[in-house]
Amino acid sequence: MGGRGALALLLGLAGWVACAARPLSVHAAEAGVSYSTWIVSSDTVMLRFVLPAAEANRLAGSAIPVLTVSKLGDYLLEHTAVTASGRDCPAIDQGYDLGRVDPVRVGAELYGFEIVFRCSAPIRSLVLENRALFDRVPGHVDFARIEAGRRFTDQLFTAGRQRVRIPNISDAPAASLGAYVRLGIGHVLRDAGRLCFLTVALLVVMHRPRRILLIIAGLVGGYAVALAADAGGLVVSNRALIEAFIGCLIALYALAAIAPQLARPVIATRGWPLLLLALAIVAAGLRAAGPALLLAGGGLLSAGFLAAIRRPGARTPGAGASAGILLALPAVIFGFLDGFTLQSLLAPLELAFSSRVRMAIGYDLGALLAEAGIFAIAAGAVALASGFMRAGGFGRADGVMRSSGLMRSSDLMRPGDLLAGLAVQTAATRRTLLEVLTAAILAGLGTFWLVTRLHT
Amino acid sequence: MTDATLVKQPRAAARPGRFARLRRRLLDERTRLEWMLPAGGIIIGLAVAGAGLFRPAARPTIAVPPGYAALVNQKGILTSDFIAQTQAETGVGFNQTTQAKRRHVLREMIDEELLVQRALSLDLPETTTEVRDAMAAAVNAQVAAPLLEIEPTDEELRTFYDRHRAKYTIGGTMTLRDLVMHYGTYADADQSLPQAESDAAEAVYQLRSGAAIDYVMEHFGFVDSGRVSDGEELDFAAKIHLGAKLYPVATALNAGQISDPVVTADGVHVLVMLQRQLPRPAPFSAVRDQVYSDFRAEQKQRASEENLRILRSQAQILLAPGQSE
Repeated sequence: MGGRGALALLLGLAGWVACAARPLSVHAAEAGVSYSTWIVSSDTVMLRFVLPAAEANRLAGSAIPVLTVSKLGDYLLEHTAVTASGRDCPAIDQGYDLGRVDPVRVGAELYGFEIVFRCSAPIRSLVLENRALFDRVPGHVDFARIEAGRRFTDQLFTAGRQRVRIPNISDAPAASLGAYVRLGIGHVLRDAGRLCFLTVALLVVMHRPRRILLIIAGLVGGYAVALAADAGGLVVSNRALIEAFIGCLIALYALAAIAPQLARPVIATRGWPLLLLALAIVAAGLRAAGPALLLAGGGLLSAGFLAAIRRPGARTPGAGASAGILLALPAVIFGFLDGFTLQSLLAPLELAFSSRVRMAIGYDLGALLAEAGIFAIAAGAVALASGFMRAGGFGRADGVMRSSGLMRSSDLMRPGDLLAGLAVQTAATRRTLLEVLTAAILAGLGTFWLVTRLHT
Repeated sequence: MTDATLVKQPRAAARPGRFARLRRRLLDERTRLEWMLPAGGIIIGLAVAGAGLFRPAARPTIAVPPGYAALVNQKGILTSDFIAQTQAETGVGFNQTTQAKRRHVLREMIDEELLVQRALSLDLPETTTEVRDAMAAAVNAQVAAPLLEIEPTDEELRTFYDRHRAKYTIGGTMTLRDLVMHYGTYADADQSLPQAESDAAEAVYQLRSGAAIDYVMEHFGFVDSGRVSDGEELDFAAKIHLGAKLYPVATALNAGQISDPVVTADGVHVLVMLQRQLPRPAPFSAVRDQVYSDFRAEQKQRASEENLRILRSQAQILLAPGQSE
């Protein structure tokens, strides 16, 4: 088996593992988030805990709001605590028949609860403890805000950081930029959709590893534009549709990788856009405006993109750079869309501009670092595999394969070396098959995500 | 035939047609089109997909719009409400009020808005009885408001009066004795209900036979219940005093008649009607105000029932096993 063929299979398997492995989520939203606001005044700390309905139902094991509210209230009471100056601050009864947890209305698709902790003396130093949900979902993140008087600070509760110590309440520390970087890294590494996109991007540029730099540049550009749009507060994203469109991008990249290998590439280059346009018509018939626009746009984008990379002029010697830039286009779009992840996660908090931008910079930086790291590991693996082949590993046949990626291995045969020529052809055929198989799997997966996420 | 006619003239084929020219131009432009068409597809596709993926962010209102006195968490306090509230609190026209008073009223209104928002956040309509009662009353008032805006004509009121003529009477009075035989109390421990009923039946027989009331009371152990006064009582007063069980029995008696024994919680009663003046139908002009009030009440009731009928038709109501309504 050829080195790149093995790598292609490895990438394909990584994609599948990404989807099948338990700690990974099918998309980022499933990792789960919650929001807590800790309002400190005199000798009391009022905790307002907000949980998305999907997360609440999953935790309570019931979609019936009455049962969910009751179970969640008890659960939160057990998993949150406040300590002031070394002494526990118990949750107090809030009168009427409310008990110690008051369910509050915080908006559609959200559950809210208020717990009041009363301390025995005026608060100077505090330890806020939030253990809720980390035992159920290790990747869960709680975006916290601590309010003392007119001061606000933003904090994070994660599985590894369930306590926040505040030595001086008048100067509560905010979560460091590094915390958001780690969050961004985790977001990419835990999300199957993101990993599959990176896998398929690697597949597209596998024969020209230097184009990885273009992909990374595309991601940087996409994140930068998203950050600018987010900072400007110009647009609000639809999270479910973004996740669906990432499925579309995975399929698009996979088709770009498959098309050159097919005897009739037109099946991929025209069939896929036509399929999307047909689905758009169906969605429009069902009066689903958002999905219809997304599918129609995806269809037109796919048609243009696949036509552009199949264009005869794109294969002329001078067109290499422009073709490479074109290949980075889905990466730009992916970066742009992924750049809105944090915005949609933080929507219920209605944060100030400066907080939002600071968090987004850290989060996007973390995501980029993770993506660049994955590419670097892949590039290293390719380099190692190439070196191994050049040194004669797996027979001579693969040793003559160059990083050009051209399927003209017969050009490299030396006259009279028939056995070596045969071996080269066999290895090249296997490699092509594996690439096509891997890309086809990812194309199918992307299509599946596109359709299912639009449906939900 | 001349030479000129023998020479085959070149036909239109020599001069390219419109279609051919277009085709040639397209071929000439091919290289450009190879770029432009895909690029156009990509740009239009991105624009269309973007329209589905994103929507313009709602801009928070940072200036109070015309017609509003203040914004509290993006909720407006109408200037007209502010003026009305100021006038109601001061009792003078808005122009006569001082700046200090206006500031005071506005502050009160902002405080009230904050409390209302907090109440909604705490979900008080779901948890607090007083809030629920107030909300239910407000909804009923709202659905009745369109009906109440139209003043009923005298003809409508008269029709209503005719339909409920029995309700509008004047002048009914009664003078009666309410005798009661207690049983089962500390003082009458040996008297059982069957025994009391039997004694009361015998007493009624003797009263109807002409025995004196005082004799029967002493002989059988009856006492005055104390529910009615010694003298004449208007029907509505007797209704209040006698209660729901005895009053209908009393109204069925004419002067000199004695009722059958009636068992209530405090004993076995026998009513003796001494004098009775039956109520007379009241003329419309005498009870017009009451008719008007009843007419309005019925309108409200009807609007509320109609509203509830619609709400029920649209609601999903599940009852637990064993429950009924």
